Parts: sequence; structure tokens; C-alpha cells
Amino acid sequence: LSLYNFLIIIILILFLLAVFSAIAVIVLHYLSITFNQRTKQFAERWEESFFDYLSSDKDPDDLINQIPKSNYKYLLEFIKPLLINLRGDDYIKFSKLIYETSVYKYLISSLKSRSKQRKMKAAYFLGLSRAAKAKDILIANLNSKDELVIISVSLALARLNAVDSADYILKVLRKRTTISNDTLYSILVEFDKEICSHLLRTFKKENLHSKIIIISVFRHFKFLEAAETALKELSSAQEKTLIIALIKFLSEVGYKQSEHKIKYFRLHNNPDVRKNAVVAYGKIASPGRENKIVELINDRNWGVQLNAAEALWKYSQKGKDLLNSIACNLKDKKAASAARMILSYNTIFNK
Amino acid sequence: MTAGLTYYLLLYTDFVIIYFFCITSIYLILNIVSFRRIRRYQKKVKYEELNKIFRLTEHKSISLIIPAYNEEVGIVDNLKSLLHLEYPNYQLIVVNDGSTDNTLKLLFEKFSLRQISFAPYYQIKCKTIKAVYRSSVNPSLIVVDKANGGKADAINAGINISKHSLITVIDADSILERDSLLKIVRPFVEDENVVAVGGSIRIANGCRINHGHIEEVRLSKSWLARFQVVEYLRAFLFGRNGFDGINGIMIVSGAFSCFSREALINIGGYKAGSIGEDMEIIVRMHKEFRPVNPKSRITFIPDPVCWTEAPENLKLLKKQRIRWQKGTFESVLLHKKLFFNLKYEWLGFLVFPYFTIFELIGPIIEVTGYVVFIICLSLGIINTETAVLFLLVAVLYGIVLSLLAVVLEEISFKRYNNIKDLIILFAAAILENFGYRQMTAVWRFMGVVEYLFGKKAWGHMERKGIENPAKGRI
Repeated sequence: LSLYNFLIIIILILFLLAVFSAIAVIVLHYLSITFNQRTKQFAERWEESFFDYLSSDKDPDDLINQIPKSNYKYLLEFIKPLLINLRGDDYIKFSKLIYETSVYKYLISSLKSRSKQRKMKAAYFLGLSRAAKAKDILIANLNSKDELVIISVSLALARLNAVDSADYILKVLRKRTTISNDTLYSILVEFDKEICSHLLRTFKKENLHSKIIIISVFRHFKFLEAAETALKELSSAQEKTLIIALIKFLSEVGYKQSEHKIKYFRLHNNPDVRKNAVVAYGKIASPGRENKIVELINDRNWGVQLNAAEALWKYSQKGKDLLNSIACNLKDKKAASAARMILSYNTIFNK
Repeated sequence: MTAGLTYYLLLYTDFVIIYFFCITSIYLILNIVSFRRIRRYQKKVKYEELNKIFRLTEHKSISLIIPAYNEEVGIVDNLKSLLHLEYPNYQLIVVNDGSTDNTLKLLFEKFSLRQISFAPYYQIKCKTIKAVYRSSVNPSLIVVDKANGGKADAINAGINISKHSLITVIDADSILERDSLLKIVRPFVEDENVVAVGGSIRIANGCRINHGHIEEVRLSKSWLARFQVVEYLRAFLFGRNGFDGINGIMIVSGAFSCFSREALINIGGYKAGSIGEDMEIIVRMHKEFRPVNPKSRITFIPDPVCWTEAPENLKLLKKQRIRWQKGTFESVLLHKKLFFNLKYEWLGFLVFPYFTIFELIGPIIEVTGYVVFIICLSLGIINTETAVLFLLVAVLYGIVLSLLAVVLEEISFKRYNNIKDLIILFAAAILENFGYRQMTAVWRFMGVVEYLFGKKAWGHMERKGIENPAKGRI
């Protein structure tokens, strides 16, 4: 192959690619416009019927049977904001349009399809409508190889409040090293508060990462019943993220018995632990223990200094007075700076 | 003419051809990676309710820092829109960096500023803060007045005033989408090792803007702005997105970026006096954090979250490109330790050398390549037919790359709803290869020369203002 021929072939390929790109954009644009138009037309055609249904005792099937199956994708787009924003009886009536009609079958067949996108969409709507009868098939989809499908299915199960699937969700998601603690936590807090009792029962058997997430969930729901277990765990905890999660939880629920233990962690060698412990201690400590916080305003870490100053300000009048005197003390410039910054924010900004 | 000279000219031509094939191969790989990543990203966010974060006990609060130097045009409307972003807890800190125009006066008038006694905790060095003001009508708005010290210094001052765990830095003329903060925070939630996130920037020229909000995405009437739209699509949808796949982002745009406050303070903030402060800080973050925590990550969200003004005249564009090139030079030179340093994985092995060879030295090779090519042609050293074909390959390849960026935009974010705009975008993707690209290559070349032999200052960019309520479009 001569250089000349090679260049001609490359030019032809590039030319075809350019033409293909141009056609692709036009086609994609047309498809997108058509979809939006049809969704709009669907809304115009059916909006009144939907609100009639809402204000009557009609069977959801009566309404859905009038809509051709080919229009279900527009129906779902139309119903999505309503399901997100409606509450109470209105929400229940709209969700029945999904799980008590042929839309449910449509979603289940999507969940069984090979397309990841269809699976994710189906899981989303089954979760959004709290279609409890889809629980088993959703659990089966937790075995998917695709991480995004697993997350969608987990969220759906959480919205269904399928408490008994929580352990399995944790187990499956924990295997995925790319899923963060925050992501897992945001899935678990989609369950109702009763998830906490379930998680408390299994807490001891869980591994370190799961324990961290479970404690964050307890904190979200302010689940005081877990405080004793958490305090025991804190006695033996070595890993900083777990220690921080436990400290935050115990102070959030105001578990007085943990005061002594938290006091100890305020002097931990890790600055992140100290940072959180000093705030937690400020919240939970009995009056008159402010001097234990003052020690940390001279900490070598700026974050600990600021948190110590914040803790002094937040929880007692004596703390506020101490903070004022530290701010005026010119001997320790760093501590004074931290104190002044917190005083600035809390006195001026909160007025 | 001596045989020796002919030999060297041919040798250089061969070198330029090899260089061209290397860079096209890299772009091809970036294209493939980006297509996959954006498709996946789209799937991920399609059914995500961003406002879920409002429910979480531990959502990450944000301090939004806006360095402002002579920004009287448009700052008021921009701030008004920034005060209405969708996010549970954020504060707005405008740092007036010794403006000589009416920036501060306007802020006083429109936001009823009141001086407050504020004692910043100087965790990062910055020029002395003269005064801190707070708005009586919008308590979350703080204005810091300080002596002029440049953009980096202004941001550092803002960091010293800030109180939240995340710091977002935006340009005073940037327009944010209402949910931009919700989007930019997502990577911090998804991965605890993320220290910085960049947003995708788009060109606002031509868009219909009302009180600091984009109402309709349109193209500017200026071809210069249209070419830049294509350039930005290519840079953000392919370039950054592709490098993100290997944790190799070397720059997040100064127009909109978000950082962990702790990370910023731990590395001493922005480098004062830096020309390319947005690139320098990112490279420094990689350099400092990755040896300590190899999982630490600087990432990017492809959503179009921030809209900015593009220069519509050659003088300003030239100034901007020269500055960008000098910034790249500065960052590469300052952190040359990363060059082929395997300790930094793909970043050291591939991305940093790519930036050095193709982004920094690239314009020199490109411009000298044109010159040598013309000399060879005029002297009959190379075959005219082959030369023309080669030129055609280069131009067509450039066109295909730009068109693919438009395809990707249409697959993913579909912000250009008007078919006429899409056709114009196509035309721009083709036409920019005939003159515009070569012109920017020359400016970048000049940037390298200026950095080596001339002034190294930041320079000043004039603002036309992206909003013109009377006309609706500019």
C-alpha cells in the first residue's frame, strides 16, 4: 500500500465519518424533539382525565386501559413529577396507576429485559410508586453485574421499605469497592425508621465498613435504642472513620453515658477524630467541663482549633465567656484568631 | 541548496507527521473513552433526584467564593441569581480585589452592605483584608474588600473568611444553572477521596439571559464565539472527560470549580501571582496528595453547569489564549517532577507528558511545521500531491473531532434546541479548521515565547457583559 493510497483511504474514512456524524446529530435531534412533543401531546390529551381520576373513586384500570401501551413511556414521564411531589391520598391514587394496572406488567417486563437502561427506569418507577409486590423481582436484580442497576434496585427496595432486604443490599453493595459510604448511606436512609431495629439486630455481625454506614443511619434517624451498642463498640473501635461515626451518633442522640469515652477521644492522635470529638464533647459534656475544650483551642491542627472554639460558643454561657477571653489574649495568636473567627461568625452573622 | 538542509527539512517534516499521528491517536482514544463515560453518566443521573441531599443530616455545606476585579458590568444581576441557587446551605463571599471601577459601590447600593467587625483566621497567606461587609437584605452574602493582589490572592482571602467544608470558586461573570451546586457536590458524596471537582463550562454569548439565568440556549451571531462553542464542547466533553477516566485531570476551569476546604488549606491555597492558577493548584494537589493517599481524586462533571462570556474580538481572544498558554507553561515547569513519574500512575506516565509535549510544545511544532511545510513545497522537496492529501487528512480529522463533539452533546445534554443553531454549529465545526485553529496555534506559540522572554503577569480581561436586558441577546 503506497502512502498515496493510504492517505486516500484515510480521507474517505474521515469523510464518511463526518457525513455520518452530521446525519447522526440530525436524527438524534429529531428523535429528541419528537419524544418531547409526544410527551407534551400526551399531557394535553390526558391531563384532564388524570385529574378527574384523582377527584373520583374510579378504578385506576379504567383510566389506564384507555391509554395505548405504546404511550406508556410518555405516561411515565407525565406521572413522574406528580409522584415525586404529591403526598397523602393523592400520592396513593397516582401510585396505584402504576402498581394496580397493566403499567406494572410493563415495568416488570422491563425489569426482566436485558437492557440496563430499561431495568433502571423500571426500578425507579416501581420504587417511586412503592409497588411492594415487585419486591422479589427487585431483590433478584440485586445480582446484576451492573453497578448502576444494583444502585437503582437498592433505592427502589429502600423506597418500598423492604426492611428484610437491607442486609442483602449492604452485602451486595459492600462488595463493590467503587460505591462510597455516602452513597450507601443515602440509599439506606430511604427506608423508614424501622430499618434501624433491623440493622441493630445484625450490627455485631457486620464488618467494619457496614458498621460505619449503619451507625450513620442510626444517626440520621436519631435511633436512641442503638446508643448502648454504639458505646460498647466505641470502647473497642480502632479505625478512625468508625470512631468518628460513633462519636457523632452518640452526641446526636445526647447519650450522656458516653461523655467520659468521648472526652478520651478528644485527645486522639488523629486530627479528624479530635475535630469531631471536641464538638461531640461540647454537646454532651456536663456544665463546668469547658476547660476540657479550651485545651484543644491550642491544638496544632486548625480544624480542631476552630471546632473547639465553635463547641465553646455553642453549648454554654461559660463557654462563650471563655471564648471571649481567649479572643482577647494576645499571647497565643493562633488560638485568639480561631476564637475571633468563630465569634465573628456567631455574633455578627447571627444577629 | 545543500543536500544537508534538504535532509533536515525532510527529517522535520517526518517528525511533524509522526507528531500528528501520535496526537490523533490520543484524541481517538479520548473520544472512545468519553463516549462510554458520558453514556454511563447519563444513565446514572437520568433517574436521580438531586434534591434528595436536602434530606440528609450530613449534606456538605458550601462557601461560594467570587473574586471580583472591575466587574461592575453584570455583577449585580449575577449575584442576584447566585443568591437563588438550589442548595440547602451555602454562603456567598465576593472578594473585591481592589477594583478601580464601581464594583464595590454598586454592591453597596444594590445589596445594602453594612460593615461588620470580622476577624479572619488567616490559614492561608493573602494580602490584608481592609473590610468585611454583610448584606442587610441577603444575610448569606458577604463582601470582602482587600488590596489588589490578583485572582489567586483574592480566592485565598475568601478561603480565610469561609466557614463551610466545601469551597466553590466561580468567576464574577459566570452564570450558574440553578442546580449546579447539587450537581457539583455529587462526586464528593460518591467518593470520599475526591478533593476537587471541575464543572463543564459553556459559552453564554447569544443565549437569552434574564436576571442572571439562562432562559434559552442560542448561538452568538459572532463566528468567533461560535468557534469557541465548538472548542469548549471538544475540550470539556472529550478532553477532560477522557482524562477523568484515568484520574488524570490536570486543570479544572477557574470559572467554576469546587474543592474540599481542608485540602485547599492543607496545600496552602492558590499560588499568589500565578498566571494559570486554576491549572497550577490542580497539578499541585495531585503532587501533594497522591503520594499520601493514592486514591485521592480530582474529577469532573460533564453536565453544562456554568455559562461564561467568550471574547468576541480578536484582540481579547489573543490576550486570553496567550495567558492560557503561559499558565500551562508555568504549571508544567513548576511541577516538572511529575514528568514520566510512575509514582503518579497514568497522570505521571501519560497525562503530564501529554500536556508537556502536545499542549505546551505543540504550538511550536505546529507553527514551525506549517513554515517548514511551505518551504518544502515551494522548494519542491516534497511531492505536492502527497502534501495536499496530507493537509486534507489533517483538516478532515479536525472536522471529524469537532463534529463528534457536537454528536456527543446531542446524545447527552441536548442544550441546543434550535435546529438552525445545530446547523450553524456544524458549519462552525468545519470552518474553524480554516484559519481559526491556525490562528490560535500562533497565539499559543506567542504565549510560549512571551513566557520565556517577556512578561509573566496575569494581564487584564475586559468584560463586555453577557447580559443585555434591553436586547435579550448579544
